[in-house]
Amino acid sequence: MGRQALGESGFLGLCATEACGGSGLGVCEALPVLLEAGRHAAPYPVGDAMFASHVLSQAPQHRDLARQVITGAALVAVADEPSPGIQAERGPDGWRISGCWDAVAWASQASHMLVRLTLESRVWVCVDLQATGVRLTPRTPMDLTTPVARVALDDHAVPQANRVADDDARLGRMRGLLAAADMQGSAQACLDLAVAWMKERQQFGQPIGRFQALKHIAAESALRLENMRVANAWAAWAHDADDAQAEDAWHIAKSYASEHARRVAEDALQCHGGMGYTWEYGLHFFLRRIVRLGATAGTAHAHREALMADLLQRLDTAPA
Amino acid sequence: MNFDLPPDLLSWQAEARAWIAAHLPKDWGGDFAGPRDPVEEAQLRQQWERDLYGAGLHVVHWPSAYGGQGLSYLHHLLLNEALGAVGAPEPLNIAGLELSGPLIMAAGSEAQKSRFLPPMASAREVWCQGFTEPEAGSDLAAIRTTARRDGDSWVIDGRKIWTSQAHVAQWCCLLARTDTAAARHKGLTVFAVPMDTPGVRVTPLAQINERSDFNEVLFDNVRIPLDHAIGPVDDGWRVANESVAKERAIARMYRQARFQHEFEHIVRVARQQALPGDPRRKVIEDSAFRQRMAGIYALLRIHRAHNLQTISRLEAGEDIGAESSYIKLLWSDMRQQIGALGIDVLGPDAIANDASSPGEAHLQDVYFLSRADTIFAGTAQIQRTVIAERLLGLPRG
Repeated sequence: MGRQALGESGFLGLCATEACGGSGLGVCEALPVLLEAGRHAAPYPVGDAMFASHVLSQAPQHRDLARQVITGAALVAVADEPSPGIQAERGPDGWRISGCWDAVAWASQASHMLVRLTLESRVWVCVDLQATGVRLTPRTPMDLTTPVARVALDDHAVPQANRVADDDARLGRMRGLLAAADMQGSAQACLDLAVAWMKERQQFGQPIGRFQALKHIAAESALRLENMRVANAWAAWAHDADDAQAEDAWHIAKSYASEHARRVAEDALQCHGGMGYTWEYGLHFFLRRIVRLGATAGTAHAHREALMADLLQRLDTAPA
Repeated sequence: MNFDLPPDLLSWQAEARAWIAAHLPKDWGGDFAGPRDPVEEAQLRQQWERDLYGAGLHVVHWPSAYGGQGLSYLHHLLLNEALGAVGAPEPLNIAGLELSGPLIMAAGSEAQKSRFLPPMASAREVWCQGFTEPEAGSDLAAIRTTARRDGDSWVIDGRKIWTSQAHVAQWCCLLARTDTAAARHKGLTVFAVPMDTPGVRVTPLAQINERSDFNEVLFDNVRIPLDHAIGPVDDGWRVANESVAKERAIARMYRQARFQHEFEHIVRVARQQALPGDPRRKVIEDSAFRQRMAGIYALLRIHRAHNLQTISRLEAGEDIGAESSYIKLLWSDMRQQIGALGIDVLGPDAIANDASSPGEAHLQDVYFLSRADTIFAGTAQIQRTVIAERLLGLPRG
């Protein structure tokens, strides 16, 4: 039901080519949609659908699939290279691939999986999950808004035509920025809940929001969200403009969101007292979603290592 | 949000950078950030300010009638980024530029603006801010200094504290109580007090970093002309607070670049510094240090993005209100992280302060300076309360 409405809205094709029924817009325009997806813990891979339709709509042989992703008729999971890597054998028409992805979001519900692989070079490949040599095993998700499955490929044939795009920094960046915006939205929802709670909940004859200790936790959370907002906006602008700082901006936005969106959710739980710890209250749905997205498209740790490597290289070439 | 910088402004900035590079004091940079002697330091800062003014590179966003260049806020940001990137000397007349000047521009008469603003802009006259008192810091409305009308004069009695640059200032922008019967926030007035008026006595106070930038100022039966009241009598609370939020966001806009300059210097020291306990490795090779540095660097770039956003909003005619508290909270905590990083990078070399090894003395300086950042111009605790009450709407305590 929600999927159909989402499909009809056109949001899933915001970044896809107009030829495929998309809007041909950039990450800057996509951010507000992801913020809302995060605010409502949307049970649909909005960001990955936007990403998939963006990539697929630019590959001539995948336009039909792109159209289906935009309308919600098809779901395409997205995954990065698994860390032990894959085995790939080049054949007369494409490759035969073996490898295992431990936890791919929405894979059980998807017809295809868009993955970044290292073949002769780094590329994005569209794997037909309904073909032979694919084994999908649903796993218990930590983020209850997002089903996950193990995807095992065993000598799976990937035709040349399914090599969808060469990887460049821009694609991984795009996917990650959409994740950062989703995290920001979920964190905002957590703070909004905490502030509303603190205005209502009374203890010691007054609303608990009057106590300075809680006020200051809320203020720090609000600052973290402001920081996320400008970091994501700057990174989105830099990405769309192909600015010289786009890589740095992306590492900053994702690492900041990974750490601080989680912190905002944790602090919001704290401000709710015992109620925040209950299953029914539901704050944990946002917390789980943030934790998952924090580990997706690069952890804070990985982004910070990359950021420092860039900085050190720049200092090497700059005057002291 | 637009982060694009127009090419013509970037060319203007490039010219400013070239002027700055050509005119920086000899040996400036690295571990050298100016003379340690306070008199020499004040002289250097004032001369630098005058030179900047002479080159058309000072208070560029002020109207030209008042000594500025009538340029945009974006010019102001880009100039300050050029200054901060090389850790250029800070203006001596900071209290003038970020408080007294904007206050007079907003509330002063035309005669007062013409009299006070041009010499302030050119650093001919230095100002200090006479607001805080021993019994009135965060609670500014508790001030006790009085201004009593007596014939053709105001007579001022009281005591101000933490008054930066009072020892070199020609003028004091003073907040005093003109109606002792009125409620706390009412009955206050702002005055321009010449520091050489009989009865004004300045006593320097020593800071933890061995500097003495701030003072106690006694006002003992100090007579000033009636027309030295700035803005309406008894309306001083509004006059004093009017520009505060905006100036909090745009004053000393060289900070972000300056702190990044300090940070990058610490990173360079970390590349040379042996890791305590493992002298075969350098501090920079340690992952925990790198992670910490990356976190700080992210905050520095986020601060810059905030500055660009602030400028965009001002250029679009919006006003900056309580949200400037976010920026103060961000950079003050970040600067303390930078200070502490410097100490930790030095390791055992932090124990001596005689500049025998790279970074020594300079990095300790940054650390001690940073301890004031969360206190002056509104403590971090006050900023958090402002955010919580005025921006999140949590009930007042």
